[in-house]
Amino acid sequence: MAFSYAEWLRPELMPHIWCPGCGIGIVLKTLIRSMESMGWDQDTTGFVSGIGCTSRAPGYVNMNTLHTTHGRAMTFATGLKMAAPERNVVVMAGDGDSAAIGGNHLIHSCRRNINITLVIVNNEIYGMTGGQFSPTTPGGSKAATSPYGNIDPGFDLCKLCIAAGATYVARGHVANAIYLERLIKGGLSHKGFAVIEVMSNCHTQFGRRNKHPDPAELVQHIASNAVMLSKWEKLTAEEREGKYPIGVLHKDTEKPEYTEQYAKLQKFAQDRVREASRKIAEAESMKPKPEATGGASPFEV
Amino acid sequence: MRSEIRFAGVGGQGNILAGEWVALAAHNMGLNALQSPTYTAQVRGGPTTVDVLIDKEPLGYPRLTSIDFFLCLAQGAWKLFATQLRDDTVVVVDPNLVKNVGQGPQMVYPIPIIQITKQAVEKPVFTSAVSLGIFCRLTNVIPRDNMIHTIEQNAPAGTVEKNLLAFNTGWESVEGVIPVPRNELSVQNA
Amino acid sequence: MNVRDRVFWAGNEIIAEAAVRAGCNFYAGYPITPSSEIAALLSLRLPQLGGVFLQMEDEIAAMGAVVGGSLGGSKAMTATSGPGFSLKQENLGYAIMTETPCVVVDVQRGGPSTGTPTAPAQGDIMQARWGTHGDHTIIALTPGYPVEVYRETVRAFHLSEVYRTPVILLIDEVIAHTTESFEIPTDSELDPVQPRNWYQEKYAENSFRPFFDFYQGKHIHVTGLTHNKAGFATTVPEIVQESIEHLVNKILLKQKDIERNESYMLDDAEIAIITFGSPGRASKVAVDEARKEGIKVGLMRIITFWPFPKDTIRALVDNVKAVIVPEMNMGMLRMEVERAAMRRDVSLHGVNRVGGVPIEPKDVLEKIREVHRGL
Repeated sequence: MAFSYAEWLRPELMPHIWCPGCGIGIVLKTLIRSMESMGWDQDTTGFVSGIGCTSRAPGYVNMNTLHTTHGRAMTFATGLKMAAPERNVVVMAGDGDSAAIGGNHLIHSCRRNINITLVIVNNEIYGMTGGQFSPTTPGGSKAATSPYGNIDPGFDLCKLCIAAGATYVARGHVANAIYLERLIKGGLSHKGFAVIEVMSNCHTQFGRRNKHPDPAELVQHIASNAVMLSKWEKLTAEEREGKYPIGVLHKDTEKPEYTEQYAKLQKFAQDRVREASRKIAEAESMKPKPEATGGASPFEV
Repeated sequence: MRSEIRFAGVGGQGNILAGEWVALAAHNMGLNALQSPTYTAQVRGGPTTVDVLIDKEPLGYPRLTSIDFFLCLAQGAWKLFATQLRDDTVVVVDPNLVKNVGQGPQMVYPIPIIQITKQAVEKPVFTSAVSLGIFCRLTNVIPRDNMIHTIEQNAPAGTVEKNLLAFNTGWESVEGVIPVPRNELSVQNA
Repeated sequence: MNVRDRVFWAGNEIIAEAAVRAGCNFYAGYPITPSSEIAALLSLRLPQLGGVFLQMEDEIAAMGAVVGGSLGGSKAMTATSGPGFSLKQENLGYAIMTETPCVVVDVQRGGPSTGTPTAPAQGDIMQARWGTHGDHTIIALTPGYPVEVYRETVRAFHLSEVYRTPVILLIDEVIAHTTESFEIPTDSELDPVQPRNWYQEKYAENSFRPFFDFYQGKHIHVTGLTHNKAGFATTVPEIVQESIEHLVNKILLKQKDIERNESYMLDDAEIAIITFGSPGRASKVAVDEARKEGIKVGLMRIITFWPFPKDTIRALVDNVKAVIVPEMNMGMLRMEVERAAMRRDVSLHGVNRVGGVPIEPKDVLEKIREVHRGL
């Protein structure tokens, strides 16, 4: 059954700010479809972003939405999730937002493995501020601040997140929304920190300066460089040049999830207090004084 | 009557704990008590001091201005913290660790605190209780029984006995010690 | 809690315990001296009470998490010191703009930069007022005594909920690290401790955007962009103007309600001492000493530093011949007093210490004598 986007959007806030042909809309639509088809409820979902083109997404979505400061979306999302761990929290961020100014928060969110889904729209450029090179801009590319070609090496965001401890890491692109939906749903249903990197197009700021001014052509270019993981693994280093793997690149269901760990910690602390009160009640002469440390912690390794 | 007490030394000697327990004993006696430690960035081995203020009346200025009792266990700490001394301040130093006490009218009790701690209770960690024994004997601020009670209440589990042994060692160590004029002690050690 | 408990706590300990009393159930922070003990104590207490304690990856993250926690329905706080307070400024501005209640403790230390990490200073009062960019007002409290630290911590949470704003609790290292005897106030001596919906019903007008948290079925949008009353971004000049005026005036116009000072021996004073925080204690001793010498001197100790008690100070300045401002900075309060006095014919003197040593009674007393000789 076709579902009504209108229920999930705030049509009164349209038109949106994105350029015609921008890939962010595809990602947002795919994310909404994913949430809807998983039966997620708008009332019990928090949708968080930082600053940038991608981060304008929450404004257009009809749920509890939080448009925060540049790079810091994951910090607000972490606070929101911890305050109400039974609610779903989804974050959308761009490459500059999540990997440059927010890089520290990104790796620490991976480390904690908190049950939040982060969708990174990687269009390899700072769009909103006028086309400056980002931490994912390919070497040699022209940008507003690299008129002679970019000499800064780029990050592989998925490798970064895997190394930092994220437990679901996937990559897709905007030319295949059906497949992207599968990847996003995999992230939403995963218990732990899930990162889905979506290769997207910014023909306005990136393409225009790098021989891909046409949105459809740039999307095709992005799609043509994508290689399914199973195939990627068989490629030689030479054959991999200029291409990137897509699919679920990493999944770990063993690593403890942060809110569950915290709930255990709370229970442990509360049991300790109860035990201490019991002991105090037993020895009435003793003064109540919960002990700060000592005893076997369930978290000791 | 406002009493001003300072324990100084290097981090790890237990000086701050000694100050905490003096203040806590006074607090538990219903007096107004205050203690404030000073550390340096060097947690172990850097100069430290703890200032204690005790009064029946509400405490005004929360720092020391006219010290009644000063105990010092390190030369570096002496240099930094032998200030606000009155002519009649009771001064105690470990003569093995504080050799240059400079010039001044005060009388100084030279008591080898670290050495007697090691002899009596083996571990230097009980220095704080030895210092408390000396403090209680040389001043009338906290009665002996109140100090002992505070040690019993606050010593970590399993260390009460040794702390009390250390306290008594400090108390006894004052026996027969003749205070030396500050100027003379510096000359002796020169 | 209605039985008077007599306790022996340090300032940082008092803040942690009073925060719990005020219903704080969310803390996010980053290690920094001299505020560390607040985090350590809350890491012990909050899990026991079912609350959240988070040690984040940096100061910025801690402030972000606090805002997120508050929007999730928690009473949230953080604590920091000088350099960390600087780092928090952008997200503090976000909390101001989005009218998200939270409490930020700044245990001031010597600056600029790394400065003197464990020595007392009072150099952050202007950063508390103007640290984040753009027009806004702020509430900053500067208690001076242990029982007051307790009371003002509870009040900080109350004011943050009433005015939908971050409240800054500014203390100095003398207060933070001095352990002292005091009696815990009873409920009747404290500001109300109420759940958020109590404030939602009573103080809805203090929020420009809809006065709701997440997950209350309202699908609210919260943004740091200037927004309309529905909460959505706008650049319509009239609405932007109205929203910023709202942010400024909701606190400024209630200055009298928020003001709290200590007045001591001011009735017949020829010389007034105006100060805040721990120098207030040295000043009080100096006033007593000077009075013994027959000098008519009194003390005004500011407890609500921002919004600034300018009317009270103007009235005070009208009735004295000289004003002395002791503070552990180079004259930040003195500048505000000068502004409040508005060119009135009064001589204004500072006692300024920035060496990391607290102001002593004799410093203030000497200045009183000097000023008195010149009257």
